[in-house]
Amino acid sequence: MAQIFPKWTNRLPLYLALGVLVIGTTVVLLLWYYGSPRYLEVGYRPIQPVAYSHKLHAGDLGMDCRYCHTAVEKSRFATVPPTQTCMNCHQLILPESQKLLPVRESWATGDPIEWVRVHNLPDYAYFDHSRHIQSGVGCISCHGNVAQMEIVSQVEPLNMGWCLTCHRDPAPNLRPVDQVTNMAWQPPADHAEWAARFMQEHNIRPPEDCSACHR
Amino acid sequence: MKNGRPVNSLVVDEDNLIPGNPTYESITESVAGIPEQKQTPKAWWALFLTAVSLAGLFFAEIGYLFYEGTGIWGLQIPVAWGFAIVNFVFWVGIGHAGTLISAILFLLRQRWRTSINRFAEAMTIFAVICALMFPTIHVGRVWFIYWTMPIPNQMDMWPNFRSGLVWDAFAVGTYFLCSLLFWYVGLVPDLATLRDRATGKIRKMLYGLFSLGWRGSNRQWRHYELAYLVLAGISTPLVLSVHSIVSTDFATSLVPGWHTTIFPPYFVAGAIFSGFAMVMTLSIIARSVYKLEHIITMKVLERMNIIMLVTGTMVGYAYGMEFFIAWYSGNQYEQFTFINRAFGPYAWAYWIMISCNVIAPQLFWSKKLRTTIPVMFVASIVINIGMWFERFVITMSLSRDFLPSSWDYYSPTIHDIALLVGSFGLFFSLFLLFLRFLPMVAMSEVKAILPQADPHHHTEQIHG
Amino acid sequence: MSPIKKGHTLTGKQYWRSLDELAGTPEFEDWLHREFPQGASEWNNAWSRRSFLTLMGASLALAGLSGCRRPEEHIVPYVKKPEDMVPGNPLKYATAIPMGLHACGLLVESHEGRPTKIEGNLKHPANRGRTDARIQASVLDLYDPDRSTVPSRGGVRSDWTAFVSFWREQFVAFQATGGEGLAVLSETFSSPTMMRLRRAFEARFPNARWVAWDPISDENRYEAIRAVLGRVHQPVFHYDRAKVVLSLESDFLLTEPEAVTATLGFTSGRRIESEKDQMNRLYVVESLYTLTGANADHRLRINSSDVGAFALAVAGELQRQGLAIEGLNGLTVPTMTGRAAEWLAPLAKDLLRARGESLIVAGSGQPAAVHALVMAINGALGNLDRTITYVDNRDAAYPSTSGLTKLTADMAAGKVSALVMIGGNPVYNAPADLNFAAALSKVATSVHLSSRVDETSAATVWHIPRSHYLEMWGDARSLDGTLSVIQPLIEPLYQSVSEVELTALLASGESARGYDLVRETWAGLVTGNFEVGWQTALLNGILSDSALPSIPVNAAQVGIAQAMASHGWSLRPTATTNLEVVFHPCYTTGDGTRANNGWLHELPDPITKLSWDNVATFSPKTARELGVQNEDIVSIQLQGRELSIAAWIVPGQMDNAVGLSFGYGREKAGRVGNGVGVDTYRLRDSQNMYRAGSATVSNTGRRYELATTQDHGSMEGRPIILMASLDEYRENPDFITGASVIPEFMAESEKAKERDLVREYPSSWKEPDYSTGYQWGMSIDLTTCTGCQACTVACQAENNIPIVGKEQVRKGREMHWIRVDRYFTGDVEDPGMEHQPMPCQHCENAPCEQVCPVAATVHDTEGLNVMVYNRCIGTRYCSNNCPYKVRRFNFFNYTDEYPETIKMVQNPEVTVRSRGVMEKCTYCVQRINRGKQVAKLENRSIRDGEVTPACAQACPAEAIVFGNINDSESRVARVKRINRTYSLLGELNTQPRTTYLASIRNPNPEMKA
Repeated sequence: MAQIFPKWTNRLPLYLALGVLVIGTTVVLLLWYYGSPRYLEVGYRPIQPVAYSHKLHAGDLGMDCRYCHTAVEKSRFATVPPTQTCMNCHQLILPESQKLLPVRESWATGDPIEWVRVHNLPDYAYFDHSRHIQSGVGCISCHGNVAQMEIVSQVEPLNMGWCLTCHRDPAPNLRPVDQVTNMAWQPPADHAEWAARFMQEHNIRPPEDCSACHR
Repeated sequence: MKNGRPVNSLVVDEDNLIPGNPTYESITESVAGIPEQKQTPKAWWALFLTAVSLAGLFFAEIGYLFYEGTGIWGLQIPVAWGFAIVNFVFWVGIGHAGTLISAILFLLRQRWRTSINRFAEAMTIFAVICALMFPTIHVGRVWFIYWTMPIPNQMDMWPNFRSGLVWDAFAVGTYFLCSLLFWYVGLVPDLATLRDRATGKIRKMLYGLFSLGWRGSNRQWRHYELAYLVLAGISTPLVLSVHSIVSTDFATSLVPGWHTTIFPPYFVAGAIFSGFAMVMTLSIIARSVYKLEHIITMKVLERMNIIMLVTGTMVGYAYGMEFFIAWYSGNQYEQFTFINRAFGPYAWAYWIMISCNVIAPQLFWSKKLRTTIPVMFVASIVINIGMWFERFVITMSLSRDFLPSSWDYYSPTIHDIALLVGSFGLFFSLFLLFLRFLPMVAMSEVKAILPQADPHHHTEQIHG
Repeated sequence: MSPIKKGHTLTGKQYWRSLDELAGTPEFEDWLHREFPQGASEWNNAWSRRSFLTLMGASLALAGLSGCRRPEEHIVPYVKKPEDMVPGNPLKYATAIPMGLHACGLLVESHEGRPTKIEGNLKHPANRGRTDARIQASVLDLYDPDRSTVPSRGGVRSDWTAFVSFWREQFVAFQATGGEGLAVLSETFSSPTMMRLRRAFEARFPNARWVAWDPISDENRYEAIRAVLGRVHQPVFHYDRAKVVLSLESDFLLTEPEAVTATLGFTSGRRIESEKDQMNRLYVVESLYTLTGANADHRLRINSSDVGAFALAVAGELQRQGLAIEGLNGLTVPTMTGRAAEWLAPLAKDLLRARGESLIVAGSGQPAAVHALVMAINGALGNLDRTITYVDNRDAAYPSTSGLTKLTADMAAGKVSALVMIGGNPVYNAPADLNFAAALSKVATSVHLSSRVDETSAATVWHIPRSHYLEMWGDARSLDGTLSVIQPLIEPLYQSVSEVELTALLASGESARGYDLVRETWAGLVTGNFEVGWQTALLNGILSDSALPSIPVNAAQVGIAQAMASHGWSLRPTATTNLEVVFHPCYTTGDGTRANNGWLHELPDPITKLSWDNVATFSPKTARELGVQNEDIVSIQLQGRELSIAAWIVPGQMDNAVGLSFGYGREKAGRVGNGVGVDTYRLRDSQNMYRAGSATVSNTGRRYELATTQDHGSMEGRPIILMASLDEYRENPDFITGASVIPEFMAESEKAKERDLVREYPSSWKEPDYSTGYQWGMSIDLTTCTGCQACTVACQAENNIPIVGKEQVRKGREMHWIRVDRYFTGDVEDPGMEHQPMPCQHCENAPCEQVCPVAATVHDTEGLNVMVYNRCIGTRYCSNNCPYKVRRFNFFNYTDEYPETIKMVQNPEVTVRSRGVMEKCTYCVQRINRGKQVAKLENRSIRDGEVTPACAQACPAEAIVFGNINDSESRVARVKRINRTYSLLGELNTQPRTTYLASIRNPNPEMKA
C-alpha cells in the first residue's frame, strides 16, 4: 500500500517534542525578563514640564532634599514642593530665565505645575516615607543618586519582592539618621556591627506582614 | 474447557460476549463504517445543532459573567458557592466511569469492557473539560486565576498549599492529562484502520497523521500493550484520588455537613455511580442509532446496571452513615444540619436526591428490569439528576450554618441555569463530533476478545 | 484642570474648592442623571478610584500611555501650601452638630481639606466623644450630589446677590408696616447667635411673627412644664445618677433627641466589672417594641393611650404605700388588670426604695397631662435637682404646633404676604389636616432655605441652598446649655448660606458673613480677653463651663392639677376592628430630612432589621387575626384617610396596635431617597400627632418585597449570646463555663483565656509567636451594648464601605463590616430582645486563612487576620468557612458608579475595593499604622487607648474596648479578665481575638418576669 508520509516524518514527533521544549523554555525566560519590573520600570525617565535639574540643585549647589520635600520626615508622602518654594529663590535668582517661565506663570495664575510622576507605587501599597527616614534608610537606597541626575529617572524596580529583600535584611541599607539625605555617604568598614547595634537601639524590626503596606 | 481455553475466575461466561460469531471484517465494517458514512444522518445534525447552540449559550453566558461579575448569579453571604461548584463536582464525577472502565476493569481483565471503554473514555475527557470550566469562571477576578499555580512572580508569593482548592487544581489537571493520553493511545490502532480504509485524500492525511504511522507490526503491538498497561496503572489511582481531593474542597472546611471524613470514599462511589449512569444513557442511544446491539450487548449493559446497583447502594449507605455520625458526634450543629437537610427549606432537593439515587437503582435487583432497555434508560437519567442534586444538597449546607442571624436562602438566577444547560450543550457537541469522526468502539480490543483471536482457536475444517 | 484653588482664607486654613469646577464638567452632569447606587458595571481597577483622593489633595490625571510602558501620572502640588497642613497627615477640627434643641460636640477628621470622618469631641459633656449613627452619617450629607447649588426664583436659576437685593425691597416695604403679614417659620434651635438675630428681627418688625416647629419634638413635655412652672424650662435627665428608671413609652436610648447623652448616662449605671457590682434597673412600659424596651429589665406592653392611666395607677400605688403626691386629688385612679396590675406593687416599692435616685420619663408621644403627672411623681420621689434638673435656656426656640396651626390658617386666609422658612419641610411633614401646601400657595412671597429643592422648595417662590453644618459658622447649646462653636471645615461647596446668614439678612437687610455674626455674639459671651477665649473655644469646641445653672423648681400644685384635669385617665380598650395607630420617628432617616442618605437607608432598623423601607408593624396575634403576613400590603383607614403600606410582624408589640414610622415616601429628596418607603405623615393630623385610635386595617392581597438583613430571629438554643440575671450571676459567677455546645471544649478555651490566650491545641503548622510586641484584641460588652448600630455606620464611614442598595441587601449582599445581630428570647408573643455586634473575630486559628488558595487572607505578627484585597482572586471559600459569616464580597463593582462628590468622602487611608474581592473588618488597621507612625516619630511605643477603631470610638455605650492584650495593664486586657468573657463558638477552637462579655440583666426579684 502506498505510503502517505515519507520516512523522515517518523522522527517528526521527536523533533516536535524537542522544539516545544526549547521554544517553551525560551518564551518563559523572555517573559520572565522582559515582563519584570526590573526591565519595565527601571530607567523610566519622563520629561518634566519644568527643566528642573536635581544635579544642579541637590548636587552642585548641595541643597538638602528636605528643603523642597518638606513632609518627608512627617508624612507618608515626601511631597513635591509648591510653586511658592521655587519662587522663594527665583524671585531674585534668574527672574527672567525662559526655563522658569512655567513656574512664574503658575505663581501668577495660581494654576499648579503638573509634574510627571517618576516613582509610582500602586495605590494599594501604602509606603510611608517618614518611617523609613526615621529608621535610617537613605533616600539613595530607593531613588538612586538623584544628586547626579539631570533628569530624574527610576533606578530600582520598586516591586514587592524588591521591597521584601530589604525588609528581610535591612542592615545593608541602614545609615545614621542624620546621613539619610547624604548621597555621598559611604558605609564604614564595620558597618555590619554598627547596623546591628543601630537596629537594637532603634528597635528596627521591618515587618513582613501584608498589613504593613496593604490596607 | 471449551476450545481448551482456561476459565478465568474473574471472567464469567466469556464465550458469547460478542454473539453471532462476527468476523474481524464484520466488526470493522460495523464500527469503522460509521465515521465513513458519506451521508451524515439527519438525526445527528438535529442533535448536533441543538447541542452547539446550547454550547454557544454557555460561552455567551461566560462572556456576560466576566463583564458583570459573579453578582449575576444567585450567590450571597452565607451561600457563596452555588451552581458553579455543584456543576463542577457533577461533571468531574461523570468523568470517573470512563477511567474506571478503561483502567481498572482493564487491569481486572474484565473483557466485556472493550465494547464500551472507547466512548466511556471520550465521555471522561469531555466531562472533565466541562468540569474544568466552572472553578475557573466562578472566581471573582478570573484574570488572576494563575495565582493558584506556583509561578515565579514579582510579589515573591507562593499559593497557599493548605488550601484544598490548590490541590484541586493539580488533581483535576493531572486527571485530564492522563485520561487524554490513555484515550489517544487506545485510539492509535483504530485510527490506522480508518486510515487504511480511508478513500479521500484529506481523511487519509488526517487519520494518517494521528495514527502515528501505525502498521500493526509485532513490535508496535508490544510497545502498545506496554504503554496501555502503564497508563492504565497510572490512571487507576487517579480514579480514586481525583474525587477524593475534590471532596476535600468540602471536607477540609468546618461547615456543618461538609466537615466529615466519609467524603472521599462517598464521593468516589457517587462519581462512579453517576459516571456509569451517563455511559449507560449514551451507549443506549449510540447502540440503537448505529445498530451496535451485537457489540454493545445486553450482557454488557446488565453488568453496568449491576455496578450501578452496587455503587448506588454504597451512596445510600453513605447518606445513612452521615446521619448516624451527626447524631453520634453529639455536635448539635451537625445534628441540626442533617435534620435541616431532610426537613428544612431545601427538603425538596434532599428527597429528590434520595429517591433518585437510593430508591431508583434498587430496581436492578430484578433480572427482568435490569435487562429491559427503557427501564435502564430512564433509570440512568434519573440517577444523573439525583447525583446533581446530591452535590446541590451538600453545597446548600451553607445556607444554615452556625449563627442563625446569617441564615439565608439561596435561589439560582436565570444565568445559573443557563450555564448548567449550556455545559450539557458543550458536552454533547464534543461527544457528537466524536461519534461522527472517530471509531466509537475499540475495534482492535473487541477483535481481541473474539474466539478467533484466541491462539488455541481452530476451526472444524482443519480437524476435518 | 486642578481642583486646588487658592481659597480666600478665613482663619488661615485653606479650603477645597473643586466642586464649582466639577459641577460644570459633563461627567458631573452625567452622574447627576444616573441612578445611584447602581450595582453592575464594567470592571475598573481598584486603585484608579482611590487615586482621585490621595496625593496631597490634588487631581491625578491619567494621560495617554507614554511609550508602551505605563500610563503617565501627574503630581499636582499646591501653589501656596497652607501652613498647618502636612499632606498625608489628616487634621482634626472641633465643631458641633446642631440637633434642634440639643447639640453634640464633634472632632472632624479632614484629609487635605476634605472632611471625611466624624468623631465625638471628648471635651463635650453632652456626648463625651461619642456619637450615634445619624451623626456619623451626617458627613455624607455634605457631599450629597442632590444638594442644590444655587438659589433659584420660581424654579429659575438665580443667585445670592439677586436675593439680597430682592429682600432689600421687601425689607423697606415691611419696615413701613412693622412687618405686618411677614412671618418666619423655622426649625427649633438653641443658638445664641440665632436668638440674637431673631430678637433683632422681632425688634425691627414688631408685627411680624416667628414660629418654630419640628415634625417630631418634645412639645408635649414643654407644654406640661409651661403649665406647671409657668414658663418653659429645659429639663435635663441624669440617667447616670438613676438607680431605677421607669420609661413611659420614652425611647430615650434611640429616637429621643438626646439619645447619645442618655445612652452614655444609662449604660454607665449598667457597666459591671464583677458579680459584686451594682446595676441600675430599667422598667419600660410601651406599645411598640423600641430599642429602649429591648434593653429593659422589665418590659410591659400596653396600649399607648393607656400609658397615662398606668402612670396614674403607679401614682395611686405609691400613695397607697405612703408617698404624698400633689395634685392627684379629684382624679379617679383606674384599676389595672393582668400583668399591669401585677407590676404596680413591686414597681412602686422599687421606686420608693430608690427615692432621689429614681427617674420616671415619659415619651414625646405622651400628652402633656401625662408629662405633668410624671413631674408630680418625680417631685414626690425627690428626684428634682438630683436625677432631673431644669435649666433656663434663653437661647432656645421651642416648638409650637398651635403656632404652626394658626400660621397656616392665616396663610390660607391670605393674611400672610411673605413667609420665610428657615429649614424644615412643612409641605412634606406638616400635619395633614392643616393642608399646608394649599395655604402656602396663597402666600405671595415665599422663601425656603433648604439643602435641596425639596417638596417645600418646589412650592415656594425662592429657594436658597442651605449650608451643611460642616461648611458654616454658627453656635449651639446642648440640653444642659453647654455652648459650642460650629466652625466650618470646608468652604461651602455650592452657593449656599447658613441659617445664621439668612436670618441676619432678614433682620438687617444686609448680607453678612457667618464668621462675623458668630464672633459678634460671642463677644458678649466670652469673659476676659476675647481673642484668647475665642481661640480656646475653637480649639476645645466648647466654651468652658458654659453649662447653664440648674434652677430650683417647686412643682406648683395648681399647675399640675390644671395640666392633668383636662385629660381622660380611663383605659381605652382596642380591638382588631378598632386598632391604635402609633407613630414613631424612623431611627435612621428621623423625620425624613435625612432621606437622601444612603448609609442611613441601608442601615437596618434595630428592631425589624429592615433596610430601605418603612412598614406597618403588628404583633403576631393581631397579624393572625387580621390575616396579615410579612410583606402583605395592608390598607390602613384612619379618620377618613387611607394609607397602603407593607406589613411586618414584630413579636412583643402590643396587640391591636399598628406601628408606623415617619421619614419615608419622599418625592423630592434625591436619587437615593425618592420613593423609598411610604409617606405616613399623610395619616397624621394636628390633634393626634403621635397616636390615633379607631383605625381599621384590611389586607389588600398585594405583596411588596422587603429587604431584611436578618431572616432568622431565634438562637435555636445555641450558646450565641450568653446571658443571666444579676442574681444568677452572683450565685454562679462562672456561669459561662460549660455553657457551650461541647462543654469540655469551652472549659478548655476558658483555660486558654486565663493563660492569656496561649494556644491550647498544637497545630501542625509553624504558628506565629504572639507573646511579644503588640497583640491586638477587642472586647464587646453585651450588657451595655444597646444595639443602636452607631458602630455600623462609623465603620462604613471609616472604611469606604459601599452602599449596595435594596435589591442587593434583599439578596443578602449587604457590605457592613460590623453588623448587629438581633435575637428574640422567650415567649413568642411577648419576647425579650438581645443584640450582638458582629465584627470579624480575628481568630488566631482562622478557618478562612487555611482555605484561601492564594494566601490573600493571612495572619500578621500582631494577631490581625489580614485581608489583602489586591491578592484576592475571589473564590469566596473564606466566607464559606467563616463560622461567623462576617466576610463581605464585592459581587459587583459597587463603588464604580459613585458620583464625583461621594468620592470625596472616602478615606484615602483605606483601599477602595473593586469587583470580585472579599473584604471584612480589619480592626481599622490604617489607624493602627497611623498610631505606629506617630509613636515611631516620637520614638516610643503606642499608648493604651491611643489606637481606637471607628466602632469603639463611636459607641455611645462604651461597650467596645480595643487594645493590646499583651500589655496586661491595658484596658482591654483587664476587661478580658472579667469572668463574663467568652469566645463566641469557642468550641471550634478558632480562638477569636474578639471576645464578648455575657449579657447581664437586673430584673426585680419581687416581680414575675
